[in-house]
Amino acid sequence: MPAEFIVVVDDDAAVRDSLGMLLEAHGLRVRDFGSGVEFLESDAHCTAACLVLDYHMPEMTGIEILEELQRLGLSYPSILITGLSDPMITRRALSAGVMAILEKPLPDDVLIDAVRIALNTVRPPLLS
Amino acid sequence: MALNFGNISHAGALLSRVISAAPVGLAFADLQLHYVMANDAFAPFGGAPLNHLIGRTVQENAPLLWPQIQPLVRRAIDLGEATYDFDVILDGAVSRKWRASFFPVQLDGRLAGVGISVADLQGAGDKPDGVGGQSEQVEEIQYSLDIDRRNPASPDRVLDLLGIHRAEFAADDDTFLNAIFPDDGPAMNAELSDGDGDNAVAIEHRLVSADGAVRWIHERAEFLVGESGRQTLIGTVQHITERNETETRLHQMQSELLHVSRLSAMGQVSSTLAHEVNQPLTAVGNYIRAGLLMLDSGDQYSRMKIRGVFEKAAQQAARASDIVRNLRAFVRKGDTASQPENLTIVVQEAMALARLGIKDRGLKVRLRLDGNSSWASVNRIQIQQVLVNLIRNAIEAMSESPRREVLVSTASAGRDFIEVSVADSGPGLTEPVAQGLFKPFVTTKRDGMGVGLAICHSIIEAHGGKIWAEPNHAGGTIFRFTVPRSDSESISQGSTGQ
Repeated sequence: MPAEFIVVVDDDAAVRDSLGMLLEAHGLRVRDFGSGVEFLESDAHCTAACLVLDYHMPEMTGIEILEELQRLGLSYPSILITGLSDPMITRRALSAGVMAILEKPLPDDVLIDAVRIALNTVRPPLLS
Repeated sequence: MALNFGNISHAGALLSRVISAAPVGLAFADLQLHYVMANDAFAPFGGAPLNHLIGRTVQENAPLLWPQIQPLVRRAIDLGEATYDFDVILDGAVSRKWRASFFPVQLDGRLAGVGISVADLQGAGDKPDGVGGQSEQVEEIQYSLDIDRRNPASPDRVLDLLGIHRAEFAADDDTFLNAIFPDDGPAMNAELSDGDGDNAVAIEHRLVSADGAVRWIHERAEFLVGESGRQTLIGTVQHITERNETETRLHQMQSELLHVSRLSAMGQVSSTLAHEVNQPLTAVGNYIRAGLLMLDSGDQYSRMKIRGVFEKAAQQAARASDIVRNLRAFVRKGDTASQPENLTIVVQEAMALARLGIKDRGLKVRLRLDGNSSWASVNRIQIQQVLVNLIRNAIEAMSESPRREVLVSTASAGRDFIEVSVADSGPGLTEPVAQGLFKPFVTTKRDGMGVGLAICHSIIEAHGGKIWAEPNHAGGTIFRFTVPRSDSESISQGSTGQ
């Protein structure tokens, strides 16, 4: 049985590192990536328990990562983090299957709550 | 032999009599385009009675004519070239046509300013007797004022003119006298005590109404001394603002446009700042919460490991400070040139902008200006940003208050500084809020950035002044800041600075 881990993708090193540390302090396992490409090229993209994705990233936005996973027939409970959300981002995020959109800076335990809910969500069966 | 003009001072005196009696308007403005002198016939062209002209700039006095005459004035001052017989057309509510000349004037071999001569092409037959000179029927409102009690006896319509509700008017109030535009006070007093024996006054001056609007008034009044020695001033006031209304409206529109573009620039800065600062702020929050969890978990984590987490939090906090510091440097570096500005105009424009889009009938914005503190050496745009910010904050702070009054005032703060204050009648500041007032990101507004006052602080500091807040004894808060006086304060008082 593969170990359950949470994937964090954020291009800002400090945000990425601190998110990982926070989740680990809560007793969760984390693998982090600096870009969508890095994540998709790793083996993590087919075994994650839950995704925490930044929206604003240079090569590939958080939503584009999800759209790419959809194309591959993969779907995970996902949380999108964004500096400033607007209706367009919200719409696209929802249709890409995001279950929570959180705005930075993250209020106290919102992220942990969202992750815990995501981990309890039944993952849809993989197509492949 | 006719007169001997060998005596220079005689010749000078005679020349000045010729100038003042000339049927042609003559004026001289210095290199900064402040009027230094003008003769009587110049009044209609200057856009204001002579006593208001001196010390103000050509542009301030005639904003409508400015686009036409600016190139000619600049030509005289920048190139030393004269322009003769130029037709100037005022095409507003009243149409006027003048023929004007603009010529450089040298003193001791150096350019001292620009001379302006102007003749009215409408002909001398209908010589104007007022500001705009047109004959219009404007209703005269009568009043009588008990000098000892300072109480206008039949003041309802005078109060209307001042924008004050009858119910709010206290009988022993100085409202009426306070409403006289501060710059015009000395002229009125001089007129009252000119000792010509008739105890009568006829003067044009400005009134400031409760909402901050300035109206031109033609006032005729006479002192009556009763048997008991009680003095009464009876007279009429006539609202003549319409004469200048077109100019004023245009002027306002221009400045509103300017302000809107300034505000949107501020908005851009704020959203960039929000994005930039969000990253380190998010990281700080995460590190600290992680560190706290580690501390609470017994000895699962080493002291070194936990220390490392808090160190990272501190680094990210420093990253956030750097971003803010850079922004401040940007604010300072942006157009920081200071020059002499008339605070009256700076404050009035800022008030007009701060009120844009606010439709609150219960809101009163009042103005109390110190006539001896008119000229400050400031960057006009930045000081207006500060004022708009403070006035908007004041208005927002009062949104739940039954009494909503903002009082903007200027006052002398020693020889070198002028103090500007914005007082509100809101709930006042709580101690923790007051503590962090000028730090970035401290806000009590639900969707505020909390950067406004930090930027105000930077701007005032860059001017060499101070900004602080204190409780308003009448309830609410007073924000005060100081700006340096301008050396040309002396110009506004009639000296040429020579």
